[in-house]
Formats: sequence, structure tokens, C-alpha cells
Amino acid sequence: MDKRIPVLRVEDLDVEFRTRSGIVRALQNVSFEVHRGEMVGIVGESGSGKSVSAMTAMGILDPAGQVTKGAITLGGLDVLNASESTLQEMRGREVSMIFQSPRTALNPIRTVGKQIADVLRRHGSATRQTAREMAIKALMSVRIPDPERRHDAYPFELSGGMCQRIMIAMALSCRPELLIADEPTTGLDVTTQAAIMDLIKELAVERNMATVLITHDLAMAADYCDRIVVMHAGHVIESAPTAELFAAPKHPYTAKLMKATPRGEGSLDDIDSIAGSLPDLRTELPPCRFSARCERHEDICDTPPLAAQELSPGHFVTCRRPL
Amino acid sequence: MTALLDVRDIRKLYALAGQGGSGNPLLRWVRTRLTSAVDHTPVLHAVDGVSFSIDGGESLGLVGESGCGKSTLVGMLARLSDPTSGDILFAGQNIGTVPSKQFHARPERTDIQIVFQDPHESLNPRFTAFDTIAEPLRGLQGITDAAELRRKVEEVAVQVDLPLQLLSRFPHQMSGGQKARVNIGRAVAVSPKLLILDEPTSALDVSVQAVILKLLVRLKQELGMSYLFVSHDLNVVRLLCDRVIVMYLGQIVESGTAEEIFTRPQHPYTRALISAIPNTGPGAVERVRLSGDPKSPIDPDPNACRFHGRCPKGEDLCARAAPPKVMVNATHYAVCHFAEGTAQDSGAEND
Repeated sequence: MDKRIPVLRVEDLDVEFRTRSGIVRALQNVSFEVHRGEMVGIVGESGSGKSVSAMTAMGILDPAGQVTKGAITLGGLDVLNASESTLQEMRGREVSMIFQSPRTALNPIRTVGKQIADVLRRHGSATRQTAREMAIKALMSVRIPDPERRHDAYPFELSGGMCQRIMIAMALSCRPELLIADEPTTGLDVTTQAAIMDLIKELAVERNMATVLITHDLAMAADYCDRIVVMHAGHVIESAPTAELFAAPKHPYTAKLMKATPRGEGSLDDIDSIAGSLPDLRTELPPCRFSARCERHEDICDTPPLAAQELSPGHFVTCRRPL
Repeated sequence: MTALLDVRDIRKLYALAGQGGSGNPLLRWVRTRLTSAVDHTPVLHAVDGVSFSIDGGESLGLVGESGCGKSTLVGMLARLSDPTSGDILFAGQNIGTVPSKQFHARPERTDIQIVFQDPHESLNPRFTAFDTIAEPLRGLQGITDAAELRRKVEEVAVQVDLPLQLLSRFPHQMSGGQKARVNIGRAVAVSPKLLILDEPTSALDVSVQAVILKLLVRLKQELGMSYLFVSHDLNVVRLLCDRVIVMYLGQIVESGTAEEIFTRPQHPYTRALISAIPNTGPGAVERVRLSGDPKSPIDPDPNACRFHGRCPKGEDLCARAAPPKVMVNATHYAVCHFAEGTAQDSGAEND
């Protein structure tokens, strides 16, 4: 195991949502770590708990959600027991988040420059006099052409890719230690998508920042991440360095997910879908939540407890019968 | 053999009022009479001289970024909007001249169907799966007999692998994959000859994407349809399409067989699109990255390449002359000054 102190450490996290139709066990025993200068991809289908994990780590979980077990340490701070004012100080300065659909995340009736200045004045060292200059610098750092003019633009005057650059400028303006990017390129064009991901990667390397990339696109995670955490129905089922995960996936779900992703070469016969769908998280579930969809399922899979095992250094899998 | 769909030099231009010119003819007349202002109404070129054809049983991919005119083109082909000029020949009949408001009475209305993007949004939330599939059967085929309607709908459900007990469910009671099946079922219920698919898998999880794609391939064989497949996902286009056209700012910049487009792209924009696909496996291609945004489609300069400014290759020539259509071979062409092949003089004359 890595000896360095991670920027973000999530340990044995359980999150429940109390809804009218019952308790949804959204996360169970979720553990992962993110180190300085590393980009970690969290990959899974919609509803697998990717975003809930990230939101909990930032302390912005919906009030209906409750952490019932576990611990989150972010740069030495115990997130779950910290006061709201401490968390407010932390957000923006030590950890920032980029959301999907930048157009809805930005304030439509405020110029983008002012929105960046807001962050700088709240969390950074900017004063009223220096805010404009610093905001323009932030715009420059995300390679926005003609930043002086764009500073006074409203979000609707800018393209989707440009808005996402503004979001990145805003998130990185106070030089956070950790950046969480939640599906940063969904809804953008392929060419813009590539440019935005290149930019995030470049800035992360330049600033030696820890980055979490949440995505449903395994191919994109493979392209940019150093390590990949695969989630299914609120469980982390496998985590490994990217090259190792792709060379030898150990969990049947990871292998299936790879088979389902269309690649450039090959024909339609080479891709295969995954039977069934995510289980209903309100019901009593077997220890392995993938068991109903799994072809390798045997009686041994139903005997608790199911724990993660380290097959090789840094490669964890939560499966009784790994491939 | 005549093509099923033959689109010839189709254009859709929108006159923009408000700046310079006014929409009101009287006001405009007064203004030009009393002032020396030049009467100029800016024109947005949404689709600007697009020609292509689809043969029976063929699937054609249409790719390009948002704002390039894909949806406007699809709208005109499905006769939801009227082209400004140009012909749409469907099975030999010119349907481009039929006003869109009267198109519903034409027999071709049944033959062209669309599967809209995002089944979560495009299904009527107050219609059960049965209602959704029955709607075109009632409206276009005039089936009113309840028993026959039920038999027909169940037949379609079987065709798209939708379990019959789901027919009574509303969209919010179904999963993404099931909704996609209903959406496809509605479109194929009237046995169209041409099916237009607008990003059919982009809203689905990877785990169900493959099965929907396989369903589409099977349906095409069973029903002998032609596909126009509009998509962002180039990997999916490569799997499904025989031929591909690439659009940029209202014009086709490259056209060829899927194999040619993906292995020997000629236009720099196509190259950028292909190199933007994440993880293309071993031996990754050189990365071509575009900077900046596309030019404005309002009053584009007729004597310049529309890609100039973003193009990694851009030279003086590109800003002075519209690129010619260069035939690489009989099936493959690119509209670029630097494509390799024999130039056809269809663009503006070079000076």
C-alpha cells in the first residue's frame, strides 16, 4: 500500500437515503484514496453511487441522505464531523468541483468574470481592486482567447465548451488540492470534449493536483486516469492502476463493462450488453449486489461477509470468484 | 437502381430581422427611401447546399458537432420544415416541394419515420407503451378496430423484444432500455422505408447500448429499412453504418464509406473528430486538436473555407477561395484545398 498521506481518503462509507418508499442503501463499504498529482476515475452506470460518493466527500450531501458508517479525511480534516463553517472554508480553497452541464451551473444573470471574482474574494486573496485582474488571469490560465473581453460576457453569450472552461477557471482559481470533476464533458461535442479533458489533465499535472474524474465512459477514464475505481450499485467492486485493470480485469462486472463499450476496431459481435439492471437498493440485498446479473454466481457468493481482497499491489477486487 | 432518398443541393436559410433590415416590408421600404442605408438583412445559413443519397437497405451516418445543421437537415428530410431551395427525391417523388403542413396527407409520411433522441424526454408521459405504439397505427394506417390494433401493437412489441406485460406501463415505470424499445417500436410500427435515428443510444447506459444497437441491426434486416444515423458517437457510427457524411457549418466536408472515413480521412476536421475518440486502442493515431469555436453561420464569406481559422493546416489560400470538391475515388470525396485526389470544379473558382 502507498505510504504517502492521501489528499482524500474515504473509508468504509455507508450512505442511506430515507425516502417515502423505504430506505435506499445508496453506498455500502465504499473505500478509496486519492493522492497528490494523481487522477482517479470513478466509473459506473447511472445510479451506481459515483456522484453520491463525491458529494459526501465535499460535505454537500442532500439532507435526505445520511452517513451511517465510515470516515472521510480530506487534507487532514475529518469531513463528517466538521462544522458547516469549516466546510465552507474548505470548499473552493482546498477542494473544488466541476459539474456537468456548465450552462445550468453558472449564474445566467451575472457576467462570468464577476462569478470568478466572487470565488476569489470569498476564498482567495482578492480585493475589490484586484479582483478583475485576477479573474482575467484565471481566464487566461484556461486558455480562453481574448480574456479581457470575455470577462464581461454572460454565460449565454458563450459556447458550451467555453462555459466549461469558465467553470474550470472558477474551480481552480484558488489552487485547490483536490478537484472533483463530475461528468465534465457530458453534453459537449467530441472535439470540445477532448479539448476540455486535455485542459483538465494539463492543469492537474502543472499544479500537481489530485483529481477525481467521475464518468460513465470507461474509454475516457482509460485515456486520462492513473487509477480507476469501478462502482456498481453502491459498492466499489474493483480498483486498480489503469493499465492493469485493462490488461486483466478481475471482477466479472468490470470485464462485462469493457466488453459493452464500443471500440474503434471490430464489429458489432464484439460488443455485448450486460443482462439485467441495477438491483432495487431499497430491498434486502445479497452480499454481492452483482450476483443476480453474474454468470459466475455460485452458492459461496451468498455467504457474508464479502470484503475487498488485494490480488496484487494496488489492485483490489470485491468478489468471491474473481476472474 | 434509383436511390431511395436523393437530396440535391438543399438549403435552409433564415433571414434575421432586427439588425440592419426589418422584417416589416413597409418599414423597410420607408427606410430605404428616406435614408441611404443599404438594405441588408443578415441571413443565417443553417444548411447550405447539401447533396447526398441513400440506397435501399443502406445505412448512412451523419456526424458533425452541435450547430452544424444536422437537426435542421433531419427536420427537412422528415418534412417537419420546408427547405429554402433544393430537391428531396424520395423513391423518385419530389417531396421537397410539398409544404410541411400538407405532408401528413402524403403516402410518404408513413415511409419516413424518426426515432428521436433521449427516450426519457421524447415519450409522452401520459401515454402507456401501448398508446405510444398504437398512435401511428391509428393515425397513419387508420386501424380503428380494437382487436386488430391490439394484435398489431403486440406484434411490434415482439419485434422490438418488449415484454407484453410492459405495454400497460407509463414511461416513468420503465427503464431506459425499455423506453428506447418503445421509442423504436413506435417508429417501426408502420413499416417505414427510411428510419431516421437521432442519437438513439446517447442517453443510454453502456450496459444496454449494445443490445439496442443489435436490435437496430436486426430490425433493418427483417424490415428492409434504410437508416440515416445521426450521432456524436463515432465508435457507434463505425459499427453500424455503411457510409458516412461529415458536416461542418451547414456543408458536407467529407463523404465516403465508413472504412474510408475512419482509416483514411482526408479533411482536417474529420481527422480531428476521429482523433478525439477516447482510447482508440493500440497504435493510437496522432492527436489533432482544434482550437476555438466554429465561425458564425450568419452571412459566411463565400470565398473562404468555413473551417479556416480552426484548421491546423490553414493557409492563405483557404481565406481567399472556397475549397473545391476533391474526389479521392468513386465513393470518397473531401471539400478541402489539400485533399489528395482529382478536383471537381464545384466550388468557387480559384484565382
